[in-house]
Amino acid sequence: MTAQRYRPADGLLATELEHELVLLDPQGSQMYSLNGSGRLLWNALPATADELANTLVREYGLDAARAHADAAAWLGEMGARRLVLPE
Amino acid sequence: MNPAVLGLRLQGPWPDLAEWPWLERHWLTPPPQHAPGGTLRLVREPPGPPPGSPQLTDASGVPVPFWAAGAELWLGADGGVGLRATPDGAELRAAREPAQAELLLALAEAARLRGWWPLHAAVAARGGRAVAVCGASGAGKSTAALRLHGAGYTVLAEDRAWVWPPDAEIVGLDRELRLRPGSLERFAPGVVAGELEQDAHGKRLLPLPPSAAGARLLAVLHLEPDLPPGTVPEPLSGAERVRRLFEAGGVPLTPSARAAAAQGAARLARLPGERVGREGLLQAVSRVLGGSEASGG
Repeated sequence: MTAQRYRPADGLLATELEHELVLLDPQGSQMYSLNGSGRLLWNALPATADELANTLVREYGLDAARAHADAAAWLGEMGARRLVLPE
Repeated sequence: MNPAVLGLRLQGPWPDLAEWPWLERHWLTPPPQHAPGGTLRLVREPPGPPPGSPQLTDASGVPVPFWAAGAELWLGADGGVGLRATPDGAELRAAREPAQAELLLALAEAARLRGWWPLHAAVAARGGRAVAVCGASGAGKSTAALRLHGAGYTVLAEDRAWVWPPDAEIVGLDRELRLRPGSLERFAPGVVAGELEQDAHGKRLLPLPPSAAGARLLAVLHLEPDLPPGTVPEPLSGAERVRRLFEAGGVPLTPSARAAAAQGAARLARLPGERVGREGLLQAVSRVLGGSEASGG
């Protein structure tokens, strides 16, 4: 069975600033600001949850359990806002 | 030399521009200083069939169905007006006469696909440097433009300007200020001798000097008429500057132009941006461009 991959939602405007990434949803005029690990994970998409966790391990030196929990929490939060969707 | 829109020369069987005075009056610009030139070629053939289902946008209040994919756009209920990016600009395909609303959207999208950023703003310039004053409809941009004109600045735009983000070059498309009755006497007395032409809505038209060249945008002010006088200007956060830029420029229709817009926003958000009330406007502009209000007078 192939692991689920995730991708950015269609139509979002992603603007890279020096210290943050700004996501604008033109449909709902909502704006979100990602910095630090959120920005890192966004730029790693499309990816599976495991790949995102590995990104956190590689970039921040987290242990695997913590990285998987953080990646899952981030996907849950971004999914609830319809910013990240299953492929 | 062919007429040009933001450096895109109109090529092909375009109608005599005398038949489309709005195009000549409101869209043709001198060549920008920094932005690359190109062509906007008209082909009198239908575009290919549009993909999927249409969405709806509007141009000056006129609803227009559209389809968008990659760097291609189809406009009109029949999808009969097509625009696509080409290596040196864009190509407009239409076997029928495009409606004005369709052509407005096509021109704007062609410029956006090249990387231009539209800004609904009054723009004041001095010595090749400029400040944009953005604001919601009714916030007072026209009055701001008139006050800046009266204060001796060169007004490049009352409401319609385009920015080339890599160099922050700003070009105004307005040829005149549209004045409400009494506003000239109130906000810029003595700048006009004689009668002014009137538009269909009874507004007097104060011609702006032809801008042979654009200017470099140094700051973006956001006019908020209800901001109390004496409010200390606060720099806006980067995210807030991005949000307000999209508010002032809108969102492109095609995915390719949206990607270009996001890149443009990243560059333009580096410019200082602050909120300003009516009372503090001239002082804020003069802090950037210099002028008689610089010391707070």
